[in-house]
Amino acid sequence: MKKWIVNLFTFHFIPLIISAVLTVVALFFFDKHLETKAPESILIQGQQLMLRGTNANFEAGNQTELELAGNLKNKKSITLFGSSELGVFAYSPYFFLPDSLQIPTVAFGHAHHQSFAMFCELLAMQKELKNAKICIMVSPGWFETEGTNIEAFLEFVRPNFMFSIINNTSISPDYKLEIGKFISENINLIDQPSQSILYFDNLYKTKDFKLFNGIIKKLNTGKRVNYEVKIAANNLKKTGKVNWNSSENRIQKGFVSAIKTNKSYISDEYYTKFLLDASCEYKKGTTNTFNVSTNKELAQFKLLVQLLKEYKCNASFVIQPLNPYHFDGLENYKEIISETRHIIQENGFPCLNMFVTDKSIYQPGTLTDVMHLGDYGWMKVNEFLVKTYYPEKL
Amino acid sequence: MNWKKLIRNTLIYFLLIMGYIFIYIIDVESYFYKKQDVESKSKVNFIYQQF
Repeated sequence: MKKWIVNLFTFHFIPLIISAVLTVVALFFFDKHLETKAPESILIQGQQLMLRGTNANFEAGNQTELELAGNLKNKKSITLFGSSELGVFAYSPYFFLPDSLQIPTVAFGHAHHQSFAMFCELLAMQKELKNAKICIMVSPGWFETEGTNIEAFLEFVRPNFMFSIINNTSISPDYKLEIGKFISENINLIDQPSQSILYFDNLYKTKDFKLFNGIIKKLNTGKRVNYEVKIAANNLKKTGKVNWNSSENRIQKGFVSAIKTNKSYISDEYYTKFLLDASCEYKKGTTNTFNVSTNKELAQFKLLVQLLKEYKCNASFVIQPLNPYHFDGLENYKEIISETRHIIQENGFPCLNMFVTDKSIYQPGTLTDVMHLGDYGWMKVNEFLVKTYYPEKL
Repeated sequence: MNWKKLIRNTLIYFLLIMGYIFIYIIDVESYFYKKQDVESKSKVNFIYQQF
């Protein structure tokens, strides 16, 4: 028995201790003598072409990335980040403002484009952020999700954006770790993770071990992506002033009088297509309760606001409503919307809060259906944007 | 004292620890086999519902 213990100690325990010490020494040696190779530099050059309109995502290639860079760089342009409300409506800001007031406005996004994806896109464009006119269209529905989903993240945060973030030394390591944390939590849902995805994953996994973290950073030789964009000249046609009150009233009356199928101020097409079941019965919408302290989307939204503040963006926010005629229990949203407003206000950004729980306060036509802005709602957004960025054009 | 056995075991443990660190923690493979131009896709297709 005694011999067995002595053997175990001598031939296993002692070698294990010695090898652990040797490993630490070897890693220090490796870290010290590992040469940091400069990443391959990629310059994406081009011209901003869009002064109006919308881009659903950045999958069309480098030009859409340049449009984002150009719109942020062009301090006369308003860049709108939103989700499913970004459809083709005549009165949406990316058509109305350029066409009626000569204000360049371009929108980016579609459904599932939420705070964390926007955070990463803006981080990739860090060099263009100062004083950029950015408006974030917040949807209450975002808070019902578990934050940005991985499919949307991979769709919106393009490989070039990843490289732009990884090799930009002026970006705080904490922001890079946030991306690493998001990727680590979702790594099992990613098919064929790219080198940059694995880099962020490894960076987060080794965050508490400086030595490993240092080696990972040195081994990464990826690409350094930079954008060089020439901003477009404002060739939008000169136009007159807008009579906001009369235009808004006319649009609202037109919307209300066109509805024939319901009294919930929902467009006939949407009502019959999405809200009637097989037996043609209308079912009201329900809402969930929220835990504000653990809500993932709210945490990611905070991060987005922090980034906008840190990089001195000229940002503004619109909190969109839900239709109180359709949804029961909108009071469930009160706390989370109030917290969202608080985050915006404490960072000093202007905010248009359109969310209401009371039918008597809700303005018919603000939404075209149960959650997407209609022309009247868009006109309110237009008025807010002009008041915020171009008060002289009011 | 069997020095040969002690040194052999030390070497084996050292290689095992280093191998674990480089393969599982630093993920050195991802730096040797460059996948930088691979476009990653989600394994899960989220339903793009109206919201």
